[in-house]
Amino acid sequence: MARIGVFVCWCGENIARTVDVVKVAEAMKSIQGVIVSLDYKYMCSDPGQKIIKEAIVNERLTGVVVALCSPLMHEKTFRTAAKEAGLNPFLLEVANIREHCSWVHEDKNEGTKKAIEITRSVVERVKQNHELQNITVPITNRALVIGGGIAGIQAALDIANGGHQVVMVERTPSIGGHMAGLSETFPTLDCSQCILTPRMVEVARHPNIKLYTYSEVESVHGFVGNFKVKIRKKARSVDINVCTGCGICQEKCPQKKIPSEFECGTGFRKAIYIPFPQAVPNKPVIDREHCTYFTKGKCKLCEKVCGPKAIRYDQVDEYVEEDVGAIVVATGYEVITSEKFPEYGAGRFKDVINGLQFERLASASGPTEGRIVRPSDGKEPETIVFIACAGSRDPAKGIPYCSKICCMYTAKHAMLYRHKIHHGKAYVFYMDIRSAGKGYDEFVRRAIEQDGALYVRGRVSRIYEKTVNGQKKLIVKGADTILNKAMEIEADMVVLATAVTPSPGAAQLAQKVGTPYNEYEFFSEAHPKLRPVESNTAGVFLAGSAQSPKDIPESVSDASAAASKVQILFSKKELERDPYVSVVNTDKCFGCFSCEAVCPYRAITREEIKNRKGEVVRMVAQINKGLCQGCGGCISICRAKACDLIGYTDEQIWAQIHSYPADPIDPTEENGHE
Amino acid sequence: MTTNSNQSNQNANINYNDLQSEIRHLAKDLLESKKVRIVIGYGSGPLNSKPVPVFITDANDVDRLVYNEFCFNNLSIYLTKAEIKAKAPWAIVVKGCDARSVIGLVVENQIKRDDVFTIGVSCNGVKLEGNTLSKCDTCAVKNPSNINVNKVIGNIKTASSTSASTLDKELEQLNKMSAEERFQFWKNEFDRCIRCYGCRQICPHCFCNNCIAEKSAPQWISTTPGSRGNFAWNAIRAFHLVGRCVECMECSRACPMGIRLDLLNHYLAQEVRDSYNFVAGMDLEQKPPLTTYNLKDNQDFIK
Amino acid sequence: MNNTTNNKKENFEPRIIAFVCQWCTYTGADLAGTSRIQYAPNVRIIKLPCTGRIDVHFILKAFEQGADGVIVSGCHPGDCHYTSGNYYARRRFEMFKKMMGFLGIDDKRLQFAWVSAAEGRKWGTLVDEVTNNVRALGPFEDYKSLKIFQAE
Repeated sequence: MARIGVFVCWCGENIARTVDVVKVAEAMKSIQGVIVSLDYKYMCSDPGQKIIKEAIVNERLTGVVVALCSPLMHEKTFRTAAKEAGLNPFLLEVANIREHCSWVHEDKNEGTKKAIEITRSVVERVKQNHELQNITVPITNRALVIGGGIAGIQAALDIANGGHQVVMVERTPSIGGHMAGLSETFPTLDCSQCILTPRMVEVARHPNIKLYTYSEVESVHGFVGNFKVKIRKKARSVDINVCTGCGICQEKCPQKKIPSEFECGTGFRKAIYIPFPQAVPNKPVIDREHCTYFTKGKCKLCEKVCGPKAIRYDQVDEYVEEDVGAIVVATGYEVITSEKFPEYGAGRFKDVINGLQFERLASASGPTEGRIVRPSDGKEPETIVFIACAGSRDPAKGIPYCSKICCMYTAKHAMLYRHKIHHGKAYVFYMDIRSAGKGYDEFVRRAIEQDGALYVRGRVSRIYEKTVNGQKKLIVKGADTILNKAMEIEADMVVLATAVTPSPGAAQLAQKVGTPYNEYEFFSEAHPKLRPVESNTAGVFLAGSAQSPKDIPESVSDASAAASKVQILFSKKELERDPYVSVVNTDKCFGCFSCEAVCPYRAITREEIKNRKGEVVRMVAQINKGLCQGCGGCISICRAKACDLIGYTDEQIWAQIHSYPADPIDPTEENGHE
Repeated sequence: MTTNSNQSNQNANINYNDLQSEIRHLAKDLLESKKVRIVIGYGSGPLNSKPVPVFITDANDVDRLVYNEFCFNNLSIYLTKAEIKAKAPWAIVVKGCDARSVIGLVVENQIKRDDVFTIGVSCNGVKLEGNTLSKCDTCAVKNPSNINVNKVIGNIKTASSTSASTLDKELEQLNKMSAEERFQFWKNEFDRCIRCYGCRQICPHCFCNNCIAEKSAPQWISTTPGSRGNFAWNAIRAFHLVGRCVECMECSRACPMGIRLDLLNHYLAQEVRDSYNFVAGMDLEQKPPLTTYNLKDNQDFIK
Repeated sequence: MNNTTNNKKENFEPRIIAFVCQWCTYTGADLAGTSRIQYAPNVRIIKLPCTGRIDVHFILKAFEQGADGVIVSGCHPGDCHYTSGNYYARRRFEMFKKMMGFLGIDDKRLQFAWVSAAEGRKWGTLVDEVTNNVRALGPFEDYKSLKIFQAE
């Protein structure tokens, strides 16, 4: 039999002014099972809480209702008090008679009536409450970092330096990401590789970091603290444990004209290659699509020249499984290619390149050793046009968002060009200059004022090739919207700051990890303001451009933030969370798995029910308590009501609805009582 | 529920003897080759106009299978019965509407597609007590070749009917009524309900072993055959069939009180089609509409 | 004003039951409180984790319990704490509302809304609007006429 105590708060005048709290407390006494009902001026005060605690003990209460402010305000306070008095905290519920009643209604009669009904409905609910325990989930203190760019590197190092093991998976043969290919970085113009490569080496040498390069995440199962990750190690055709990285194979390989991914197509590589000199690991990989042996069946020159005999033509993809407790997604970005721009030649003009290609031309380690030349004829360009918004903020291209980094790197490009070719002209077409950031606006000003970049506010409508005085030129037609005049520039080269998009395959990875992504396939954060590096899936964190276009400082701070979140998670052996999860009554479940379809957390698994002979009779749904977040979507789709949500059970809700009188008291009649 | 149309003339074009012997041949093959353990089909009953379900397990018995214009039952209901389930694989004689039920059962994981061999019979409408069923007016699957069936038998070519079906006309009339009048209409219908649950028992898609109607603690639907419980029961059952009902209309055929469940189901099926471009039981891959969503779903009704 | 039964419709104060999600609308209603926004006292709130948890049974039960109107409200599209609960709910409620309309329930008695945690004002307006609409319709006699026992 229920023994309920009801405690009605005055909240000074806040409730008592428009609600007759004495009457509310009095009315509760007539409800079956209510043993004690009283009012007090400030329930949340120490004496107020003491009243409740004493009543719990003295009256052996099995349930408590406190009628006062919103549960968001004080539910925790009172549940803690209940616990201290020996009552399971989940047997205490809050009736919200302040925010939802006394503060929004002036009429004391109406307010009192409403407060009575609100409190009564919570009393009926509490009668259906059960003792609950917080759920504990063991945690594997080991993190997976997906992506070995600067964000992934930073996250991995932070977690590893924090004393936890890290598994890093990188899709390409080397870590480093886009940053390894950049020339110099804004706004300080320090050399990108000089600041990055020590970090790459640190990752390779760190005793807590296990590195899988040329590998991809195949599948992710499990939940926060307990993920099982299957990794596909793609066949490198080289045993990296035997290989010394001497590079002789690369030197001798007869396939010379394969566009290099690292050089963004501005240079070439061999069929067996180390992507770039500072690659980590500094071991080659065979590109089977282009290798003479793999395509034609003979050659094997690399095998012949390899001293330590590390070449493995028969290597196959290998699968490994790793247990981790947290995942950091740092899969980065890509830029769209110039083929997407028919108005700019759709990739046909050799001298129309994108920003990443320009980085390689400007880089001392690039194919031209830092000399800025035209790809078509190797001549120094006298005039370069930079187009700062190429695809970004252009709904017609399907990219309405700002790519964020282009304004800054375009200013940098113009600057680098002017530093190298003093007499050259650098035009920059822009829509707006977005240079918010420490030292950023000063940097753009420097490009304009000191380095003489010619900024034109307007867009370029068309580019075409034309021979002028025997010289091949790119005619850039645009508009200066400030001077309101059409412009035509004879350029030698055009650099498009093409839009930033997520890394290819981001959506598929998001599906594997089970975390949401937006319509452009950027990973979605749990909350744009307050949980910017957490995904909506517990235990999965985000860093860098996988989430939205970001520059290096942002990516690094994201990564450190994500690493900090991981370490918070790892600071305990067990994860404790509230007990509001769904449960399945397998007797009632008939396995239509509609619940599985609607569950946003992939918390529903299929379980076989077998007969005595061990034959599968039917399939039923089971809920993984670690994954379930307690939304209850599975219950409203379940026709048989085979599942229910602990804390918000059908019984509790039914009791609440049922508590509202079928024939309400007529307000005018109640007036008569006063 | 039934209609006197000229369709009986069209039916004359179908040679039922041919269909029947083809079914028997196929059944024999399937049983002899041990491709299936049971053939579920129609057999002759006490009345020629009311064939009964038969379950053939022996190839020598295939002559018990009949097929005629009175084969109105949706036999797919048997696929989820424990006794039958234990004896997979099966073959089953299905009309277009019944074939859609089979797909629905596969989509909702009640049976495995590979366990069932569907013998899809071309159908130009079935008759009950002399009249073609009204559901046949709106049928879009007279030839089941566009549904995932293993074998199509017969090949009728029917022009889609030009005039509005009887059901559609009735729907139109109902929609013209005021809300008040419609409420009275349905109250009159549902008030007759005696809660025999025949609608549920005959429905291939009512496969829950514990029906919500019998759930206590809490009891969402009053079990007393009174207005309140009847309204809740009939509304909830119809709602549970949203996006799942294939309009075989066995429920309204089974209803001893003649409650117009066909109208309610037809209305909802049309709304599902119009809102989500979804027709139940047509596609093994498509998710039932209430178990999925589209970011651009209508929300005009939401403030 | 003691003779209330004869002119019940004039003095009729509708009973509204609102099923709301705890993240957006419940918090929005809290904000209405802290902002001291005055609205009709006819509404009774039942808190649920998500609109995805709100079962059509709740709505029928509310009507059976004598509610003259029902509000279902949760997070705006894209704001769902559970990512997609409100999207599934949107479909379910669209079909449910259509079915109820077809069964003769006036659609003003069943109002769905998106009210965010920041929309205290909208919550107040919503309650006032539904209350006024339902007051104009009068008591939900139709549903109240559905008795548990046939003999009643």
